Amino acid sequence: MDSSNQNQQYYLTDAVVNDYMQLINTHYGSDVYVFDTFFYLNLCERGFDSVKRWAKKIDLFSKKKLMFPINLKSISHWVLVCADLETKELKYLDSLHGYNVNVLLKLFEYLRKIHMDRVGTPFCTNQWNLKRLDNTLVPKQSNGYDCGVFVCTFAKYLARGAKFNFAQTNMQWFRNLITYELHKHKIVPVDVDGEEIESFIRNVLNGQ
Amino acid sequence: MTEDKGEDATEYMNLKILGHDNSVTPFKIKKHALLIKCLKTYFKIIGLDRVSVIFSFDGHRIIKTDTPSSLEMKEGDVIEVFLRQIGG
Repeated sequence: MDSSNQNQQYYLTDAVVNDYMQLINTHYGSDVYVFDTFFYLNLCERGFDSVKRWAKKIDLFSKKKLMFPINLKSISHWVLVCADLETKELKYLDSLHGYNVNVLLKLFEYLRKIHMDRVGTPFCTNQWNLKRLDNTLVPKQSNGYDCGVFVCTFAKYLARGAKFNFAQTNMQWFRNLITYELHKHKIVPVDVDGEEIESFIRNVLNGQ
Repeated sequence: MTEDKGEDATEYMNLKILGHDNSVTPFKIKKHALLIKCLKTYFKIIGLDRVSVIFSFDGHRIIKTDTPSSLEMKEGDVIEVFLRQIGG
């Protein structure tokens, strides 16, 4: 068994990612909606009609942000796409600092069609910006197993409009925090920076 | 996959399961019957491990208490099968 296989025990599955995104939807539902991880797969493999009725009870265009957690199966990797409906930006967030414009184009096409379908008017595409974020703004993963933790944490920060203040060194603590949050059915915002993150999360986990 | 307990025939509806390989399996079920029972039969037919797939109806993951009625399903609706995703 090579080291990459040993690391797979730390990989996050769709079950964890979706449960966590559901938690975000519960807590920040008036501002954001996070799609299911199978949404993008279905959109790609079966087309727009197959996902037209997904999130049918959600008033998508009343939100500030729509987020799409995506599993890149060929490289067993999680990334997040965030459509910011206020700034009109479609952002690709990859903890390995990769970029795939085709993913953004696919989702942009979805937004265009679903806007017509739900709202009944054309989507103002010309004001939109499909964006590769400056790498200095996206915390970088330096191991082969934390991407799911990054994606969940990106979504949590984006949901409340917070700046990313964490780095790879904090991810074990965010991993523990995700377990805690899922267990307690609540989101714990981390408002401290850098070196204080560890002690902050440790206190949360210890119930202080 | 049908059960007949002598109820009105209109209580039944026809649904389809769309496999991860795009195979289509039609089945008949009562509107208030638990979907999970039909899905368990599906596992046996196609020989998939229950933990390796999930069932989704319009993005809703089907759980053991769901029925066609509780999900507001209509005649001919499709349940999709997805293989589990994993990433690091």
